[in-house]
Amino acid sequence: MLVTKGFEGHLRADLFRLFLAISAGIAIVWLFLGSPILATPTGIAWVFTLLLTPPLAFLERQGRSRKSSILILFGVLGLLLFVAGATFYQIIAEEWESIQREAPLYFSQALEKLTAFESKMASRFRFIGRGRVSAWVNSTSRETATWLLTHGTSLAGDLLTNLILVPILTFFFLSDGPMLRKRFFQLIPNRFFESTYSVTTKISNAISDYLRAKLIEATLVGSMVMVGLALIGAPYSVLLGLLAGVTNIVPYVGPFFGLGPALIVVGTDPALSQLLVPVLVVYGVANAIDNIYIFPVVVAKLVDLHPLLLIAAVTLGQEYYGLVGMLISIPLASSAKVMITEIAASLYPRRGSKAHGR
Amino acid sequence: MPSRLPHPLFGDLFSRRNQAKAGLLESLKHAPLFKDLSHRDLRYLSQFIYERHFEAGESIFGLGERGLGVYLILEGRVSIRSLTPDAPGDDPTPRTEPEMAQLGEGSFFGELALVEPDHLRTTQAVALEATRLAGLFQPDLNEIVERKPSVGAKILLRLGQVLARRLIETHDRLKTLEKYREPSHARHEGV
Repeated sequence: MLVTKGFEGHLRADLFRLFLAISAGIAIVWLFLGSPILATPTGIAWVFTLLLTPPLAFLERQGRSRKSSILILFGVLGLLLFVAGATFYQIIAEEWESIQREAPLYFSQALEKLTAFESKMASRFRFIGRGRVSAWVNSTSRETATWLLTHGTSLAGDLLTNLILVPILTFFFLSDGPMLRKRFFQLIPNRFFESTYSVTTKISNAISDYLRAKLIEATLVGSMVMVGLALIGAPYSVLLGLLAGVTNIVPYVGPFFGLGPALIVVGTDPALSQLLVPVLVVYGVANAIDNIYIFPVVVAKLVDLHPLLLIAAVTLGQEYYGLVGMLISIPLASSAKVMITEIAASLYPRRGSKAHGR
Repeated sequence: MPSRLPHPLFGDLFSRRNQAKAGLLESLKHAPLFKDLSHRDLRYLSQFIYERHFEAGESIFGLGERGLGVYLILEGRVSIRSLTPDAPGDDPTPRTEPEMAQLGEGSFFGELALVEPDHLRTTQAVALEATRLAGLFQPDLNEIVERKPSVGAKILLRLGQVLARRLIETHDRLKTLEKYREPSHARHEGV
């Protein structure tokens, strides 16, 4: 006897159960991401979890248990951090001290040049107001410096909290993540189980693939800039390379943010003026290689969205959440596409796709 | 040494869970798809298994729905039916065809969804009584293949054998149908 029609009456109850399950999931996520003290370490730990998943799978493939693989991974990472710290600490510390000493000079010289350029442009083109950009740069920099001075202590405290919390959270995400995910899916009503499972898996894959690809891209671009600057004899090659890598994570405008400090350093110091063109060439080559080889091979394959949609997503992300919004806009747009595709596929199933068997 | 008495409040909390896990492992062990797996492999596999409970008459999946995995019957009975949405004539309502199979404990169904991307279910599965199922889904099978290739290979080999057997059975049925069709076809032509 087929009695499935009687279950149409359960639809309301199932929808309510689905709503409760999703609300519970959102509440747990909000508990971590909603509170300022937990949001940053949770976010970083989540990114680390996504990045460490492939090496963890590799270790598990060797026949080790998940827990022992995680411990090995943490041990290796700790060792690598120690070696990298011991190797680069001296260079980074020296570059940091030097940049701290020289920064006010670089800043005042850059501002002077900007003001002079502005005056020149304003006298040539009357419609340009005098001193607008330089005044804005000046006030913004003063505000930033004041903020850093007043929040410096709490920033150091946050950094220490993150240094402790991030490894702990990453460990638990890696070890208990699959179990927590399973518990969540047990709450989903039968009728929505497979579709919810399919959509969340695809979204999770889209976000983790994108973040991994961006990290690979940022590492390659950062390394190229670092090596290039070192080869032409530019100062602060390690710091500027690191900065180029980090800013490259932000789509489209990131490379320009990375280039800015390098231009200020070589553009304001008369002793380094001969490096202006080589520095532009280094950044240009690194970004050309990124746009021609790295991005199409590593990132674009994972983001099946029209360039116009990508630009719209990045612009909207910037509009509402600034830099973080620009960073997360593309994976969120990919997730939205996955959801729309899945809903469309369930509403309008393919015709003539009857497979054999059951 | 005297055995410890269970705690009056929490004594059976963990033992129940362990019993349920042991029951699941026992059921998985006897499933044709997981026959080649060792106890250790089965314990690993059980992390990826989702237990689902269905009431009598509840639909497990419907024809044309997107399918993601295979279901093993741990308890209860399931009816497998084929519906034809494009019924001939003016009647737009789907026509229910006779039951193709009635499956009991230890049987499994929906295995095509494990291998075909974006699979659409070609049958309808309905619980005939209170039924407990163990589901294994495509993303989890992919993860097993990635993390424990030896376990994944054993499951895929068994899955291949099951699909091959079903293909042979279908082929035989088609041949039988053709045999029945040929004389009448010939008679029509003769007329």
